[in-house]
Amino acid sequence: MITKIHIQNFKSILDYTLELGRINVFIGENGAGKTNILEAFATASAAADGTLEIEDLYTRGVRIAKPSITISSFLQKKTIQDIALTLTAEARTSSPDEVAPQLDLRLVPDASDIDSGWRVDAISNTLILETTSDTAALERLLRLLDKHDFSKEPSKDILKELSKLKLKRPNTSILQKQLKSFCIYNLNPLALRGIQNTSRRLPLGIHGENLDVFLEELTQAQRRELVRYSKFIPWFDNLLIDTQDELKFKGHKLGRSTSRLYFRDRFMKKGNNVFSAENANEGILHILFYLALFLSDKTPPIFAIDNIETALNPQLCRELMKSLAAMAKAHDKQVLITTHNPAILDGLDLHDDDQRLIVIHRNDQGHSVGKRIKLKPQAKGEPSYKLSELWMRGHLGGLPKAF
Amino acid sequence: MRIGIIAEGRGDLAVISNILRGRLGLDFEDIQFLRPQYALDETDLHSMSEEQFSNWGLVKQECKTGSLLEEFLNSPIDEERLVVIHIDTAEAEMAGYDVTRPSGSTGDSSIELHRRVAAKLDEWLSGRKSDPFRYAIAIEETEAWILTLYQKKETSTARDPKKALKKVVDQRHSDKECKQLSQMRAYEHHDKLSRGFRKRSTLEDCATRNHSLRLFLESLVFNEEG
Repeated sequence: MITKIHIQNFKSILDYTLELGRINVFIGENGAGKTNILEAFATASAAADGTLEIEDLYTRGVRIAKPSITISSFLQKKTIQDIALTLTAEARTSSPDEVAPQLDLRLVPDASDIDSGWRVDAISNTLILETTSDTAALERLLRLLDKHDFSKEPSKDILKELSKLKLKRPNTSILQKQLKSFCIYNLNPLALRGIQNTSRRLPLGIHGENLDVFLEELTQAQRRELVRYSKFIPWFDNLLIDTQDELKFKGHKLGRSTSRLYFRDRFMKKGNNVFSAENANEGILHILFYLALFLSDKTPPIFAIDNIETALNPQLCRELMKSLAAMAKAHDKQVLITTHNPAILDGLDLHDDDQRLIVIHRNDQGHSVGKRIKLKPQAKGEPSYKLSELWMRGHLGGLPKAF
Repeated sequence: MRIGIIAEGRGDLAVISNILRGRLGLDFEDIQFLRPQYALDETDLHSMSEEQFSNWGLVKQECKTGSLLEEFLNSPIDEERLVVIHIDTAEAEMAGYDVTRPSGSTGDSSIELHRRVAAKLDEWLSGRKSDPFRYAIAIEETEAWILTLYQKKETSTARDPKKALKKVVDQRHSDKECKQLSQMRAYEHHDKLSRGFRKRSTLEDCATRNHSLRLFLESLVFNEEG
């Protein structure tokens, strides 16, 4: 898991450090900078993977702009010409000697043209001391450093003692591996229905492409889990993947869809109860996509979902969020989610430190910053307003009020 | 820290927000408007006049019933919370408000009027702990506070601060700007005119020209240090 990200000079984020849990839900006014946080992650992912071309960023769900627009440019602030992203992952052991993997990225525009790209100037320049180092050498070095004037170059003696120590780079490869496939999912009904195919990302497109193929490849156990979680949709009986296109030729799909995904409605008569993804309501397609995304080991370990509530009934939002929180834990996923629907919050358990609610806002200088919502310990179990109500009644912030 | 505001009108909310931002360095995000109610929907508002959801009587009602105060202060969110209660003294003698106005129109009488209204708010809030409350008592109206941004003389004794403010604003702005201001809603209008309060040094300078503004700022010193 990634425990922290420090973002500097990225779009509306001048300087902000975000501490993460497993499920991280972001709320805030339109334009507060929620999606910018997701994009900072996606950009870090692309940079760490060495793929910072426009196409690479686009396929991760980043809204593309030329570098000079991507770098923060606030009034009364000197513009800094690079973006700094620092990610810290969870240490693998609880040993105090283990340093948490950290990835430092500095992104610099490679030119000032309209079509200029980025170059990564630094990745993890920090070196750490191995525990097996010679402690006597370390002590000698510390004594020398104690007397050293840091405005001057290090002396030969310091360099000599330093060379005796075993230094290593932090284990950034784990972090890079976790981040490698990070992308922002932002579903589109046409992609989910198999009518539009703009994202070529595999195994699932960022707009919902390829859902039928992906579902077909789930194991039996995964399929059973998916169907079990789908039970909060009353009419849903089961899903079918028509790999041979037999249903198409029986007239179950007459439109433009290439999707081979079909649904069975439990209330309809046999023979007349199967309909295609093109004819299905939008909500079921979104839900299936999210469930599949969370339960598969082929999907990214860390990813983001922008506007998760799209097309979902408020009560369904709550049930979905609750299910996804459970699935994230069961399948070791970490997720960043944005929403404008208060009902999503009701599926969160904020007494669980893994589940976090962060309100993003623009401060008086216009910089995007966040505040984690924490509940008083004694509030556990006590009757109170639902989180959705607390939000709508203004207690959480994240609402425009200057009307 | 999060601060809730109960005010007579939406324009007052804007003025007090700007003062809190200048005095305490708070972000606007840390300020919550409790009244006038934003919880009402357009269906509710359809049959209500401005006065029905924006007047001193509702401030009194809220102080006495305390439903919004309690909800705000007893919120399950783990953070320090305070409530600023705003009231103007312009209608202090009205039935229900029941504050006798001291005779004369000197600075001393405005100090006395402030003391009497504060005592009235204490009475309306009786039975509640006073720690989380701060009073923003404007003599006679918050426009007298805004006026300190536009004139260098004492504004506590202005007989009609609204009129005085309009006059000075009209003098300072072009016809086009005055027209734009007149078309703004109360919140936007007062926010624009009182934006200078967001700068601490300006706010402190203004407070030297209005006793009731000064008292409000002084009531916030503890929070600043705490």
